Amino acid sequence: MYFEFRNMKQTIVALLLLIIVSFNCCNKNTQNNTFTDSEFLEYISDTNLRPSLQKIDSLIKYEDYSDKRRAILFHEKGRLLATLEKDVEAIGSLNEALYLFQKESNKEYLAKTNMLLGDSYAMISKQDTAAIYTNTAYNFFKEIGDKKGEAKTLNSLGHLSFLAGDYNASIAHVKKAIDLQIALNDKETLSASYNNLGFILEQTENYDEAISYYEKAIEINNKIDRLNTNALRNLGYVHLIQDDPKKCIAIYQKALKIEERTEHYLIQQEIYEVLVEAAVKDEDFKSIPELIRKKDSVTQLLTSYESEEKMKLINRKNEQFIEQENLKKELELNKKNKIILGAILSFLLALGLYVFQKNRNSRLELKQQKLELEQKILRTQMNPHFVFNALTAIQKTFFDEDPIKSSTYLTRFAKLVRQNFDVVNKKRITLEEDLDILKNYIETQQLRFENKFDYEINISDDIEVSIIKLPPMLLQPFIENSIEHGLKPKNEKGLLQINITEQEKYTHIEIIDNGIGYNKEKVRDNREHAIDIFLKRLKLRDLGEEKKFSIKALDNNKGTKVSIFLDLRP
Amino acid sequence: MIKIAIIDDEINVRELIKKMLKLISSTYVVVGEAASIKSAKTMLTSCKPDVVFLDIELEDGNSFDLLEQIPQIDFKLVFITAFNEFAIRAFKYNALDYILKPIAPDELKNTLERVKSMVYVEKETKTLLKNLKDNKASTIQKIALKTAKKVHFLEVDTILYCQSDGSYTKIVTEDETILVSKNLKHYQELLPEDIFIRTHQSYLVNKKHILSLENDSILLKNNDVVAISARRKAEIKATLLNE
Repeated sequence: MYFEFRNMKQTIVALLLLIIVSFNCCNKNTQNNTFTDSEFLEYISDTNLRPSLQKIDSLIKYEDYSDKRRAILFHEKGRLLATLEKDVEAIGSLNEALYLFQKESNKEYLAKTNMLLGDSYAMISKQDTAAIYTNTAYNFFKEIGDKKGEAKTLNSLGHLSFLAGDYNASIAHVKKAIDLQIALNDKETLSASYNNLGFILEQTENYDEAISYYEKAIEINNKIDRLNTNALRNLGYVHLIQDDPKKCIAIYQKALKIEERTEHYLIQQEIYEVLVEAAVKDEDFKSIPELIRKKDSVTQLLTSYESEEKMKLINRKNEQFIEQENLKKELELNKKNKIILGAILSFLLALGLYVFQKNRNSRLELKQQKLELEQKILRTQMNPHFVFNALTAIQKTFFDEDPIKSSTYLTRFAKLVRQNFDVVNKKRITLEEDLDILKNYIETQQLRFENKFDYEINISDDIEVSIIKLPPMLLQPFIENSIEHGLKPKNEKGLLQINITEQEKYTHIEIIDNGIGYNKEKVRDNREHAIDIFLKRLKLRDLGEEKKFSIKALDNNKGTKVSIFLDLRP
Repeated sequence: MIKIAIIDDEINVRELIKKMLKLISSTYVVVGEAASIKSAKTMLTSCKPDVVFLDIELEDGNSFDLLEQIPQIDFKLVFITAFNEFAIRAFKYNALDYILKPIAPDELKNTLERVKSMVYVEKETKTLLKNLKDNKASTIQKIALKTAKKVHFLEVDTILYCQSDGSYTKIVTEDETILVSKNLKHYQELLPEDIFIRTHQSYLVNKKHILSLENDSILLKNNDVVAISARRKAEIKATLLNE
């Protein structure tokens, strides 16, 4: 008793555990759905881009989220792909997102998605398409009153117009962005916009205006201690263009100080290059060696390893060049031989590949053919027309009020169906089994046609029906044809004969009927279809049996005779 | 007394129908039989049946040949078929009556009762047969809808949606709404499933006429709104979006 109680207790504990676990599971699931959008974003993002992408992919595949959530997933996937510079894939994903957001009419995300699409198209140098998307994004941002987004897209549009060479449009876009950024008091982006505007103006040789914008940018940078020298360097260079190297040098020295803090060696290197250029222009040759030395030390810092590799490469190239020169002469000599040899080799290779592929293909084809044939055999055998008509014939016997007879017919038909299912997947069955199925089939047909015909099967003594094997149902289509198209339309009682004899190495099978004969016009489809399948089956056996097959009308259309030779030796 | 003729090339079928009819009601009398077009033609003129049971395959051709060769179809027509997917579909499309082999007694009985109550309409049968022939010949499929008053022929493409109304179905096009005495399932089986989608217990919708997909409904070309089943929402949307 005690023991049993313990057992029960264990079961209860187990049950409780199960309930808790499943409850937790449910909880988890519902949690996913009750996230706010930002929580959901946090849930799907990972500090590393790739795991994050994987997570999103599996969520898209396996979770049943609302359209909005799916859209957010696609949007994030696109954003991450774009960050990884996989812009083409990003576009695919973003388009999915765009479609779903359109259905939701979610303007906030429509804006974001369009913006990302614009950026990605710009990255793959499709500026026209990029402009369309960015423009759409801009309009959405405007509509929902997102000034920051508006400014951002305006800047992108400015960039796109700049690339397209439309400087006026470019300037207009950036100026609009600036207005917004002033209103937002967003200093950092404002500075960047001023710098951009200056750069565009500089390209159009509006140097004075360019300078004033660069100066504005610099002023902001100083105010907020932004360690960015783009504007400074741009400003300096304009002065250099305008033949004022001294100003240029002063400004570049400032930039250098900042970049020394940021340790951007590449920029430092560029700065030294400009400083040298300016010094040359200023004819201040004394300071040049010092500048070059400093530049070199930066370059060394930056590329010590790289340059070493480069030198090695150059040396190697030189050596190779000499070697090649030497080889060239030899090559000239060998060229002719080589061409011939190459041609032979590639021909052999192609031939080999061709044979291999063909072999493989034909093997696959063979397998496919066999499968298809199997199905076709089943279909010809269990011809639905025959099935339903046979069933109707059986139904008719119910009204003859002889239940024993009806039951016999019904079970015989059932046996036929069963035999069909049994043999269709078998490669070979004994002649005895096959003839048994044929008898069943013929007798079911006799019921259908009210004993319109008799049948006989003659087997010569030397045939061992229980030993020799053949593919199942080879003969059935010919018997069906004889009955349906030869004997059924005949007015008098007909006869169906199956003769099986041994002829040298072959088993010879004849199917003879004295029906209305071979009416090519009327039964063409059906009969030829059956013959096709039959011949294909023989061909697949690869014993040449198909060549010995014949079907012909007996004289004066007094019937049809089918003659089949099968090589059934074990 | 209702005079019946049976045209079938299998004697079993003729015998079966005769025997079944005898048991169903004494009002049905089989007045003629035939197995071929040739014998059917003479039999029909001499026996003047009210209803003809007609198999598709006959000894010397098919039953459509027979129908074209006789001067008038002054009888009600019921096709018999064992298995012919094409024919069955064609009968349904053209609202022609038919029974299947083996023969279900209640089906035979119901069909006869339905046919008996029909006011005789040679013209109608002819149009239905003509439509059957046209459908065979052309890619534009027309479906015949029988109502109490008349037969409507609709191009399948023009149907916007079908709405279940008990055992009736409303067929809606841009121009008209037709109420037919067959259930929605009948039309779901009948209309091509690559074009029509069951979005809801009560709706079968032509995908070609969908204007937009809302959260739990579909907006159609004529501004009708059709519901999406809450349970199958995701699945239906996925199918629609994949196209």
